[in-house]
Amino acid sequence: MTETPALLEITDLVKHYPVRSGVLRRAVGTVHAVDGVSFSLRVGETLGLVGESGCGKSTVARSVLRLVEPTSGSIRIDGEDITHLSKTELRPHRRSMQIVFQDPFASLNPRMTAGDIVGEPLSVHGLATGREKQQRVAKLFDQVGLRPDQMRNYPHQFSGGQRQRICIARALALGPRLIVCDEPVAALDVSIQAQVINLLIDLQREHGFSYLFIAHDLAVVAHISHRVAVMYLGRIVEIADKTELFRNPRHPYTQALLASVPVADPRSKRLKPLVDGDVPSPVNPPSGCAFHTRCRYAMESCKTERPGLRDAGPQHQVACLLNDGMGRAGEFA
Amino acid sequence: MRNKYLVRRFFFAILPFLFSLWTAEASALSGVVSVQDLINFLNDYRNSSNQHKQSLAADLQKKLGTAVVLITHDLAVVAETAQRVIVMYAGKKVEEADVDTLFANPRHPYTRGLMASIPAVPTADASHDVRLAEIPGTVPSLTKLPAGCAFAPRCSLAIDRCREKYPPLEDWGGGHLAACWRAAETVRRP
Repeated sequence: MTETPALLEITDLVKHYPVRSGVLRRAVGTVHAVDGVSFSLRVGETLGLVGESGCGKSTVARSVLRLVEPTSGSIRIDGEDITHLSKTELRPHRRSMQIVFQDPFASLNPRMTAGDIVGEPLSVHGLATGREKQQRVAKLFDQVGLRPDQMRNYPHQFSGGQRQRICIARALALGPRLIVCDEPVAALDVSIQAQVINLLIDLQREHGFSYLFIAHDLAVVAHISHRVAVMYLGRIVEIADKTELFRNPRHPYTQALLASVPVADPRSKRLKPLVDGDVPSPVNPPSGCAFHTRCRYAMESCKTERPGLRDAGPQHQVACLLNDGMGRAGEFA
Repeated sequence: MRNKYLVRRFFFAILPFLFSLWTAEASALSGVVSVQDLINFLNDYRNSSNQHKQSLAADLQKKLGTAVVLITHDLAVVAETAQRVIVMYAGKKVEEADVDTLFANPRHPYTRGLMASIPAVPTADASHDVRLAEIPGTVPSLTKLPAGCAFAPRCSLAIDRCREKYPPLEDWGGGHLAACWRAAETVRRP
């Protein structure tokens, strides 16, 4: 995997939202939704992005596609910086990056037929019209496991899993190289979830595109990803090869997350949760390492010093002072 | 969406409690819980992260002695919080057992399919190449239920009898109920 070129490179991505209040709607504070995130995604690779609700996963996803404008930082696709491109300049790049949202009930227009929904990107980009468009849409339906005769149906006539297939077909229409999946299976039943995950993996094998796969279900992320990044309060705290991360988690937060994954086996007895309390507010993130308020290994220096991502082994980076020559967090676990 | 639903569920589950606290009986109960406790609890519940929700459900049960009906499709949460489990399919109860029996020895092919389709957190030997087991197809529309067992069109074990007659809910020992013509053969999880 190491030799394959980077498709997407995110450097120091920051997104701050102002908190407005009062009659004049003056900014009285800042939500640090994403606070310095860097990673790269290689061609044909799946990077999983996990973290609790509100840690900035979706903001990263949307910034990558410039659906929200990042406050600072850079986004490069195929080596080209798209951070400051205007709408028209961005347009050709839109074809290479697509998104699948969490809620297939909300992300499909109820007044359009499934066929029109999937065909719309083709019309918008002027790629196909009339018969040719119909044929391409039919082919897309076939690829995602829907019957072409369902093209005339409306979204409400489909089940949740089928709707997510429509969303995937729409994302595939332009032949993208990157698909951002923002919690694509969170709203689906387990049996349907398995179908959609298998479909995503099959499509990747066939077309060789990259996924940025966002989810809060670690088991799902582990299943589909090659590499996994763990986010906490707008920052990546650990990023590693999937097997390495699950076998040898270094950051206390990753360890806690892994320990809290529910197991479908009533005999496995739950350990006491490693982290208590909730994620602190991103309006006033804690100083130093944002996790120090909940970390059981927190030291004095964690309150003041903000750890950066350091190498902690091959293909493994972690942002924790314990890993900076102070011993290894893994040894305490 | 599921979380909102759960919050609502729990609110209804403890509603009788809130009510009793407002009445004369409150004095007897107030030694155990106060209204403030409950309100704190609900706030806690609403604000907590996904993975804390289930431990809060267990807390609710322990602290208040409330009976909880947990409606979910997440089997892992069921395994960790419930004592007894009912599996439903297309409007009917297809299996019921205590939680240990159900997970050790699921009898209905639908239950077995659900369990097989859960991705596992990888261990050292797991790899990207492992395909998840799927249950083919989707739940039938309740207005167009097939004849016989509603699960038959998606079931790998289905035989002719399954498509003709709905199987009775039979006791397979120790209160383990399952409605499947072939339940006698599905003894251990594959």
